[in-house]
Amino acid sequence: MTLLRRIAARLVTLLLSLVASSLVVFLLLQALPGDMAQVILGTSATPEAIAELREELGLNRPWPVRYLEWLGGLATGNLGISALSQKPIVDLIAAPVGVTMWLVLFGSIVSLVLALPLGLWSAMRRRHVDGVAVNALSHLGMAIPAFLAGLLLTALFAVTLRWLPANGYVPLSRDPYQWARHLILPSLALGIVQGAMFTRYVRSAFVEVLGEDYLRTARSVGWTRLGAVLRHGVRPAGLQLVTVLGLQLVSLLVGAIVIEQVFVLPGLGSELFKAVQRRDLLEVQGVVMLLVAAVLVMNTLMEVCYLLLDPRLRHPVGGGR
Amino acid sequence: MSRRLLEVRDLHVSFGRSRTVGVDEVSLSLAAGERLGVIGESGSGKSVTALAVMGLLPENARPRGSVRWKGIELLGMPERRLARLRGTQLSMVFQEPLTALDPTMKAGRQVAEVLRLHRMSRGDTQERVVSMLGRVGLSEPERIADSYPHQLSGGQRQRVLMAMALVNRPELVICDEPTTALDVTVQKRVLDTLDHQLAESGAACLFISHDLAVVSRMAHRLVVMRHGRVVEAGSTQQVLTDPQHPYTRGLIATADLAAVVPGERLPVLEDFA
Amino acid sequence: MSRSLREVTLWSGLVLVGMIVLTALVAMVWTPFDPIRVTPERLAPMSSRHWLGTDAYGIDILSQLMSGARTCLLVGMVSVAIAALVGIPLGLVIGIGGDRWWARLLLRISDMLYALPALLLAILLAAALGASTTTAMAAIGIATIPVFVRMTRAGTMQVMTRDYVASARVSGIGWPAIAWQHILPNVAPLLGVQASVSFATAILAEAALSYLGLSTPSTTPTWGRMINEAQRAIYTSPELTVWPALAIGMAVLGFNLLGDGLRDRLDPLLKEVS
Repeated sequence: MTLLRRIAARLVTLLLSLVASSLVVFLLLQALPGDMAQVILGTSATPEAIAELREELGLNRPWPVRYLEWLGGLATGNLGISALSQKPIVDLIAAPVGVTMWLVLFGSIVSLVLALPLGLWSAMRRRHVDGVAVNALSHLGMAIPAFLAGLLLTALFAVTLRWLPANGYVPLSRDPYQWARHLILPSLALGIVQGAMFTRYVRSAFVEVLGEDYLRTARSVGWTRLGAVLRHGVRPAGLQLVTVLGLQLVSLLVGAIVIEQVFVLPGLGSELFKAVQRRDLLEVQGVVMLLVAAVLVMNTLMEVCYLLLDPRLRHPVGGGR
Repeated sequence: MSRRLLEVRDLHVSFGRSRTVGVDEVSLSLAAGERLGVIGESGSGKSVTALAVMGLLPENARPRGSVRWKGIELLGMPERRLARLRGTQLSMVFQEPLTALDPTMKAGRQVAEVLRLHRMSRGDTQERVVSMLGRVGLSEPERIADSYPHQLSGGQRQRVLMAMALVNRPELVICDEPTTALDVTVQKRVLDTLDHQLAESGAACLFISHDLAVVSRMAHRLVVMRHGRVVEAGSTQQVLTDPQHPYTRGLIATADLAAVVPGERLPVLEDFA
Repeated sequence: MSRSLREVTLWSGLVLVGMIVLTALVAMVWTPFDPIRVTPERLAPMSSRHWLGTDAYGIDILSQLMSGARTCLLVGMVSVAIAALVGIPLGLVIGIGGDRWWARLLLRISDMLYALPALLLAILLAAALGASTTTAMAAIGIATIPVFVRMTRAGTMQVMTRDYVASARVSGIGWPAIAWQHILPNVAPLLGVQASVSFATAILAEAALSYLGLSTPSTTPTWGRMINEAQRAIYTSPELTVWPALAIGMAVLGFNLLGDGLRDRLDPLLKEVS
């Protein structure tokens, strides 16, 4: 069946993309100058000691061998051992992954809650002052980087009003109330900026749908203008939006990494920066690959969603029912 | 029949900031059960008139004048009240069967929705939907009800649209070029069904077309429109046998193109002045 | 949107961008104070001497902003240039290739770059080479390539259907000449719009990278690092955040509005493509 074949093709593409991007990440870090042994031993180390450690770490073997070894590890969920802390990298990033996931989850909820009604509103009222105003506001929102929004929110809610903590994190398992309080500002900062961008996508999707004949049909059988859009416009517009949702998730993830720095959240981004500062190349490599994989998987998921949602693809003509 | 069902008086519609005129000083009226044909070339204001009656003009349109439904003014009526009339008392069949149905919803649900929307779904909705689809001449109503629009042919979709327009037994059905997009053979059968359904329910009809043969078949009376104005009106018989306006004469002559002897010059508008 | 509103969009974009460019040009030869030298005049308020006051190190804020405009435009220009120089030829080739397998493969490969956002690329480069303006520009530039590829491809495929391309082919003109004489001039407006919008994205990315310390070293002021430093003093003098924030907002808004204004003006071609 064509639908299954299309989905299978997407999955094959995903697999190839994962392999290709892992090669890019590996080569960028390994082929470029920068010596792990030197980093570990510091600048005062003797050349003999460095050579010895290189041998020990297996850095003298050809890069294709090391790449395949790393790839094999990735496939089995083993990212290697951090050269500096001597701990498995998987253990180092387990807790941070959770923090980042919460942030991305709440950030996307905020952005959807903002963008769907505002985008619909500015599309339906695009010939009126309020619709144009919402559109202008989304323009302004897009001009604010997420980290700046975070800072402005901190200045207002943490510094001036003292309602919420300015930074830090408390695990959910320790204190759910404090956990939530610490995540509010970061999620808002992430979600508002993302929401501004998404509002524009929602708007243009609805502007297109509003011109469709079937909305006029819906009104001719008794729906009001708004009723027709909600009943018959949301699904076609949503179908269009699913395709850009993947890209939205990418920028949400990137935004989360930056926002973690603003609010000193111990997420994947913070872990990544620590690794960069320590020049722990293997950990940087592992975390970046994890993020890239997340992006690729989310994009593929969105594409598959689109395939499953569109009745024109699900029930091809001629196949009947 | 003293009170008219629909009374349009001095309707004037302009569009956008430039105030492009779509319809100018159009008046027409319809009694219960009566069928009025509106004919004219594209851009003559036929569809604009129909949309003005339904209250479905685009946002940038400014209608003036009066459209009365059973004596109640429709122009300027709040959207909510107007929406309650649409689909129950007034309904419309559009000319674009390919795009006029929601592509993401099965045909049967779209018909059922018209019933539910006006709380007319006493008894078994599904049964009524299927029987309505059967009555508009669809041979396998169950299968059609369970299909998405893209799985249906143009003629089938047009019948689904007719089912949606007729299912609540409206008193007026506006048909805007309902068969223009269809093959000639399908056209005839769809018109037969429509004719039959209108007769059975006793609904009035405003039938819009650029095709004189089609209109004269469906309508008791005719209105001829050109450049947004009514140029001629009268009973179908009268307009066809004794046209007053040169434009109408032109229409009648060109409708009869098949009768032009090969090799002869085709008639032009000046011939009828 | 009405015609007059479109003109407003275009002109306000032009004015904002013009202001930034002018500031950057002036900053190349003159700033009121040294934008990097630490002085004892800490956290001075706004005055006739220091128009926007000084920061926690006693450095004049206006001078830093002016100097930051220079860095911001430099990063924007170089990274958009990288993206355009690689992306446009690639997009042309893929567009001319149309539905052939190698064109689809190239497009897939270019699309894969979407999975490596500028920030991750910058982190990788910084980890391998150490952070600098160059790594930031390279990261933003490379990450923007697929955007240009997609846009150029879409425009090219549109132009390819025109009669004059067919007649040029019939008269035996080679593809490179057709691309240069017929396709490029027709997709140029499209690419101009894209360049403007990408410039805005690049400024945002540069601000984030310099905020994170992944870009220009501390010897040159950037708006991002100004915010980073203001954050450390947020409890005592939150107003320090305002100026660099305004600068970033104005620059991004300016380029976005310019792009939108251009797009509306060139509507017919763009509608066909997007």
